[in-house]
Amino acid sequence: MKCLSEINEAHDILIKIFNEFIDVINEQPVYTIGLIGLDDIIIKSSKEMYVGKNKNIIKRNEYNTIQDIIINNEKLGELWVKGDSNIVWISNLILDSLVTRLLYELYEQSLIQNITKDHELIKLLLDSKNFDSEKVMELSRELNVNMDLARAAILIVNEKGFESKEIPRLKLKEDSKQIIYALLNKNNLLIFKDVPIKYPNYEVKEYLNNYIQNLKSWGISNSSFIIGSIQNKLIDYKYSYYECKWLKENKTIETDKIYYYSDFLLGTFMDKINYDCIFNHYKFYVIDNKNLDVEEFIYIARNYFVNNYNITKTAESMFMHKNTLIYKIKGYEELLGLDIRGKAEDKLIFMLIAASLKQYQLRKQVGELE
Amino acid sequence: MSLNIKLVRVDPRLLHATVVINWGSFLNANYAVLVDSKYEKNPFIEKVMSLYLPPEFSVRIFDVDGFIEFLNEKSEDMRNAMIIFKDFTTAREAFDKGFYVKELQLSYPASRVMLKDLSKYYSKDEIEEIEKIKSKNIKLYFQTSPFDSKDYSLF
Repeated sequence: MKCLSEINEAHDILIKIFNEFIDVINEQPVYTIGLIGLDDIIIKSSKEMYVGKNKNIIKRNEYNTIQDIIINNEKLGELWVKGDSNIVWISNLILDSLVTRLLYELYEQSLIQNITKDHELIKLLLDSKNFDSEKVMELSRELNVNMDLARAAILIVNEKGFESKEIPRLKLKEDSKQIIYALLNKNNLLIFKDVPIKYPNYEVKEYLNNYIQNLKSWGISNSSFIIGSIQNKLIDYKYSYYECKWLKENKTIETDKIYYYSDFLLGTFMDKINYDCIFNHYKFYVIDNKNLDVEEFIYIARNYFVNNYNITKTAESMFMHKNTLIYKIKGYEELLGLDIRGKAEDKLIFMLIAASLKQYQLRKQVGELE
Repeated sequence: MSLNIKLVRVDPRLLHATVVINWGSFLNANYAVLVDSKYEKNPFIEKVMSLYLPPEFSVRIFDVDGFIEFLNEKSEDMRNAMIIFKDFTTAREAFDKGFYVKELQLSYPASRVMLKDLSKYYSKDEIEEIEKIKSKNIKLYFQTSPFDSKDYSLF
């Protein structure tokens, strides 16, 4: 401990935790403990009557011990223990637990200070309007962030809320030394995890799945994990986070599962399509056509798409005879003037019509349409 | 929920700064299980031992039978535990009664540079216990902090 603020901080923590020691000692009336300040005055004691008195009131005999409380070569005060014939053993145990606990709390404090800097860096990285590259560089250097590594956002969602004390320890993990992370709020933890760029896509998934498995066994449980794209430049990290955010807001996320934005790309793009123009163009043939079973149309189109436009597989997945399916699709081809079994473009249009009909149904359900 | 054993160690000092600071934080543990029949059933000592760590960290002291019962205890919370045996005999007894881990961590009995021969640092009885533990397909290693590598060389 070098500077005054660090000594003061240690002193404040010592006073705070000493109350816990007093509570325990009070359960064993044979013992009395006291915290003696550097000015020889008893600051705290399990017996209130001693507080404020000079330490010279303590009898020097075999039932009293006074030992220095030293942290990192700095004396913070003295521990007084009064008791029975076990006094030496018990006072050593209390002193050891007090010093160890103080060291533990100071260590945790330093971790919290580091995560505050990580949090500051995350705020700068997510700032969509102004990317302050100078500050980002400065903080990255301070946190020993290797700026040459590619990283992917992992948004971890915990409905009950994270244990705020365990989060600062995350960077102690061997595989987490190069992460940048912050608790965005009590339910959302954002990690930018470094990813080896030499890995092909499928190995990256395996790598991140393993990392998440390690996080779970480390203690991050009852959470869902959403993973965005890999980004090479700090300025682009936010896009990876936006992907996670989109997934969280638009898909059903279950606890203990891992979700990759890349697995939902088609759905994302489909969501961004303006279906009105498709719907209006084909409205006459599908909506105004009383002979068309709209539900069945959507069902067939979806299965046809999922089964890679393979008639046999589509029929099997729908428990329908292949010829029946062909008959129905032929009907749609005649109705819409599309070559659904042949031209790639028409297959896509068929799927888009089904998607527009689905959207029409949903809007109708919520009363948006008459 | 379950018991997630993060570390199993033999350490005559049980809890102390090296264990608490180096391992408690690093492993994200929230449970310290001390196996030592000397302190078992002494709630006062258990409470003083609890003061080594913050209140959200549970510290329990058991004898070997109590420890085996604890392993089978059902709990609502996730227990990320460090298990510390007072000595080799206590650890071996627990292994005899059904506890199993792949690896057992030991604190260095002397400077790692000086450490060449176990018989200089452990008694004949202790070496016998080490052999019995090894015969159960459990690897022993020295390690002080998580940033040191595991030292299996003398086993």
